[in-house]
Amino acid sequence: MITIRKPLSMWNPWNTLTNSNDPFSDFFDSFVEREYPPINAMYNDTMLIVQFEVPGIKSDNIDVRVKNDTLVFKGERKDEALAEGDSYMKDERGFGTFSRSFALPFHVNPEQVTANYKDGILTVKLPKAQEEIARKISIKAD
Amino acid sequence: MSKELEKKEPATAIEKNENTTVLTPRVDIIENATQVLVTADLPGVSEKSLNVDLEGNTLEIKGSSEIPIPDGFTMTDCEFHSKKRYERQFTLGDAIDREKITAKMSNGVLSLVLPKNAKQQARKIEVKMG
Repeated sequence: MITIRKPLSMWNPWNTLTNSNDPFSDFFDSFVEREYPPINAMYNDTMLIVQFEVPGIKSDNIDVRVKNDTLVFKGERKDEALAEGDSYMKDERGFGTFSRSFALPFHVNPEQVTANYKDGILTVKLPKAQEEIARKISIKAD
Repeated sequence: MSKELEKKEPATAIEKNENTTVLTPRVDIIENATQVLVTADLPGVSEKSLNVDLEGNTLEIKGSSEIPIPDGFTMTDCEFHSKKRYERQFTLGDAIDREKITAKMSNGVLSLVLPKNAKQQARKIEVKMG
């Protein structure tokens, strides 16, 4: 199993969508080995949402954990069981185990984290821990 | 395929949006004596946004995926397209029984079963040693 650590940087985002109209960007992208599964992450004042693009996995084979402000995703896609007489005409999809982990940019209460798997997209919602949400301090004037 | 006609409408709706990225889905194709099984990864595609059309010998898969960014959220990491289409065509051999093709979507994976005609199924020829 390969574990890849990549911080979810909120302050220095790299955004592949901004280059999507540039044919050269796609060309050079093809040389870059991508981590699996690909993710999209987004945030607002109170929550971080991470979407994983992982088609064809049974929910039993997905493991999502939050520990020490790190989000850890593990998954396994099983190989197709070939019966006698079966042969591959094309074999592009791949299978195996994979994992990714992300340092979270704020404290999260693990009990409030939710994960939902639909149409091959796993959506993990990580609300900020209450103590992280900024309160406006009223100033007393003498 | 019986649903062919009623499925045409959403396909037209998809084509109106020209800014959507079009991707070729990855497939596995497994063949045996009685059928061909096509498995395609279509993450984000629901049964409703999938089209499987058979025209002549061409079987076409079309699906659209749109995973909305909730209002007020800022994107920070973007490694896959939130909005995209998948398209791929296959040419069917004569052995495939067009009437018996079935399609099923599950967890963003399309499974197409293409049974072979009973008479065209490969026969094992026994070779006698002379």
